[in-house]
Amino acid sequence: MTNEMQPMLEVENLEVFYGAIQAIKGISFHVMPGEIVSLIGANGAGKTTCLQTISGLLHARVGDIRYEGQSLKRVPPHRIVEMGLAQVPEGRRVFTELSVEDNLAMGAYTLSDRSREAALLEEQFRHFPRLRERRDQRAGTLSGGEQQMLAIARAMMSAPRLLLLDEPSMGLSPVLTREIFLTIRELAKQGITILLVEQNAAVALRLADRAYVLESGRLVMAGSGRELLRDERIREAYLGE
Amino acid sequence: MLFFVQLINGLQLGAIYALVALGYTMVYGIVKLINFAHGDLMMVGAYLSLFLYSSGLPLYFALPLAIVATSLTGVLIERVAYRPLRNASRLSALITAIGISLLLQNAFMILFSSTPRRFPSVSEQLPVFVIGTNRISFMAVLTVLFAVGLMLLLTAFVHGTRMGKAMRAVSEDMRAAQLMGINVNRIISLTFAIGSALAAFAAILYGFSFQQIDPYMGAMPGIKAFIAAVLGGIGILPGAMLGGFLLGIIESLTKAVMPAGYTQLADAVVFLVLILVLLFKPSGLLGQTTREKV
Repeated sequence: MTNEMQPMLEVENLEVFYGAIQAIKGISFHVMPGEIVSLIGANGAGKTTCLQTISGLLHARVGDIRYEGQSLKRVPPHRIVEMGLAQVPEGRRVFTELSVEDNLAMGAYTLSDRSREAALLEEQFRHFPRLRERRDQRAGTLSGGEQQMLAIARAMMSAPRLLLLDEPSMGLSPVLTREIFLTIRELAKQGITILLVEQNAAVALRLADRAYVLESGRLVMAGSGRELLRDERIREAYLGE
Repeated sequence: MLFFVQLINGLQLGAIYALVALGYTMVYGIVKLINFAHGDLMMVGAYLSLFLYSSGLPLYFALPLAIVATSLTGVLIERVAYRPLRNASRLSALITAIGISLLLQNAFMILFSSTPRRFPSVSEQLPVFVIGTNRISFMAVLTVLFAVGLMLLLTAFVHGTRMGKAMRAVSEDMRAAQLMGINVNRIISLTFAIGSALAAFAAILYGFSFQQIDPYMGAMPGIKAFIAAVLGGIGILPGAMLGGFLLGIIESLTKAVMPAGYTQLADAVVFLVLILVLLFKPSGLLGQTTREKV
């Protein structure tokens, strides 16, 4: 562990535009290996844009993103997944026409070792027994909570070292949200580094080692999850207290 | 008995429409582009087959080579003309497709002149089925078998292989597919390769069936294949096949009942089918109205 102190992910002075509209206005943050970091903020603050830029779906106009010390700037999205950085996109985005098992197989698309794929599949089924029961079912027939589990399992099929999660609690009941967050904590315990984007600030801050607050494209606050939970401004603006 | 003969003719014609429609529907499914140059790729396939055969190659070598060359032409067109417009408006891509269509037609007119060419004939060497007083050419049977066989092969590929499943994943959600590590550009190239190869198959069957090719031969079958794809439900493989056969049969039977001199009206009937589908079942015969789960 020679590079223990090197950040796993470094975002530096990032600016992202949609045409003439600037969605991200120069943000810098980092994620250390083994950490759970949350990025919280209201709708339209730029959270999803940020994750999509990290995954290579959008391009930064200014700034850089480094993953394990390597710039991701000109790396196409499929190569980024190969490098060990997976994302669970907002709204789950499972392939509704494909079976549960085929969805998981798509998650392992970058792997060439079939026995490794089989082992990973077994691991997901152990984590989410419901998915094993429904392995031959079309993913579109799953409930919202099951689809979220499938989306997480699917991302885990590429054996990532860094997992980005975009609003995993979206549209889920408090009970299911709790279940999903327990799963995320579980993944972190296995040594997977987590960058989580959430509107649900309360759960996101409780889970996070550290968190950043994003407001209309700018980072306005940073601290440990516990610190931010106690912060007056956060309590008022994001926790509705 | 005329009905029976026309039915066979319709199936033969429909098989060709169906093969072209498969390409339309595949490309639409992946990039949501109506590739109006797709019919002209059939023409390219026909000329390449004829050219390679005339240059002295035996048929069994000339035809596969022509199929591969047509396939590569389709991939090249996507690379050069459509890929740069991937994020542009759909209308830009559509107009570009029409431009490519005109480009191909005119390029082949300059290369080979607009005079129709005779396609090599193989029907003398093939048996003829006689049922009652009707003669059914073996070519008709072969054409239908080829079309159905290729569709089954394609369906097996799309459902049974890793790449085929990736193709369906890209078609449903390109961004999510990218997040899975699927190289979307490669899948799109593969789609154009398969679609164009099917168009070349259609061209060869067309050439053998109708014996004559010209630089504009792709235009009308292209549009009809598009209608076939819409009729069956665009984006759905068996739909393209069903639509193709139905359209071929409708066209042939209309020709049979029209008085001599008015057979051109069959085309109008085919377009009427498109209007009716768009009015009453825009998602096509096999299509479902899309339900979005929130």
